[in-house]
Amino acid sequence: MKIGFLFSGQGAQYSKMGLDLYESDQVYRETIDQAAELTGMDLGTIYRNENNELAQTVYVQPAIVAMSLGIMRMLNRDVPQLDVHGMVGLSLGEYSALIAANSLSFEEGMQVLKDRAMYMQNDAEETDGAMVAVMKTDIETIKNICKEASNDTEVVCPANYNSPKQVVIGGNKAAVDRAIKLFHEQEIKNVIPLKVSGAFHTPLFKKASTLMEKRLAGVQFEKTIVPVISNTTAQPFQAEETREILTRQLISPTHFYQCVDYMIKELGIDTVVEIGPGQTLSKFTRQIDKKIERYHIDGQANYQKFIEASRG
Amino acid sequence: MTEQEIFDKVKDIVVEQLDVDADKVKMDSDIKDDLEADSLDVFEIMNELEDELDIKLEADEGVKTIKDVVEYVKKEVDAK
Repeated sequence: MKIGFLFSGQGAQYSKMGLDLYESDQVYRETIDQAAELTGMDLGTIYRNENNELAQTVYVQPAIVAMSLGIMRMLNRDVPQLDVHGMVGLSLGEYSALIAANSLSFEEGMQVLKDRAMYMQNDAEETDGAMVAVMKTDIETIKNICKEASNDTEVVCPANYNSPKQVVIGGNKAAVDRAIKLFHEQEIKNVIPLKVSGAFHTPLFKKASTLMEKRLAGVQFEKTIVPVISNTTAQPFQAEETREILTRQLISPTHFYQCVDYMIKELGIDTVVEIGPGQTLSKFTRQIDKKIERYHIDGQANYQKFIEASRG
Repeated sequence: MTEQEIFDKVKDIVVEQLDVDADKVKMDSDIKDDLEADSLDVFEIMNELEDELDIKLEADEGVKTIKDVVEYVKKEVDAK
């Protein structure tokens, strides 16, 4: 099993995620408690989601990363011999990957994330962002429509290249609406508005990106223990450029499709393991290459299933 | 088309789209809870059905189970 780890991004969260692990596994519980202390957030309440806490960027980002890292620590304890060739996280998940690959410490990472989440929530609230998934449409057509729908003050552009059949575009709502109209005029019907709080990975997050640059100025990134492929460049993160890339990440499209392709072609992976809530990234991987074996871990049952499979 | 034929068609598409075992797809399966589909998956399933059966479907027609999909598709096919 040549493994590539995938780390969930924002949007994959659901109520009570990880709570069975919290109740049954000491290492997981310690990780979450530590993350709660580092961020000053009541993660238990956030996971229970009784008042829709998980709908807020400011809470959901630390919650997802803490969950992924709790699972990572369980894996390091139970199957330290795993043959891991690479890692990719989607957007927020890049922080999980960089922490898992020892580029960034858990302590500093959680505190950075707390601020990142706050910057992003502010921009989301201050801008009128919208996002739309476009299925089975070629990239040139999408880019041309985005260009036509944008003007000097309102923009729409590709934000997530998720898989060969799914690209998400985002921008100011008025421009996004114009793009939808243009798609319909060209008889492209596979256009699905997403329920998001902002147009992530577009120029609408300029302010967050500027703040992030300052925030990361004093943060030390080490060499990753296995290649972590950047969403922004679709190349492995190098320690000295990580700050700049994570700053740019907020306003640049994510290239998840190319990242997985890199892990398959350059790093030789034959299996992906999605760590964190949901299985969105496994589904994208299947659309990228059906032959890749897929696992996802977000609870005790699928954790055990993976452990058994990995021991052959 | 009979209900059985439509069910078989829906099942093929659901198996392909959601990557689940064929025997997991039953009339009373809940698409989101049992088969772990998200709303984009539902949209794509409806899209595939539209293309294959040459009908028009709305993705947000309130379908919850496979049975709902089959009945909705049957209604549209019969109305053609």
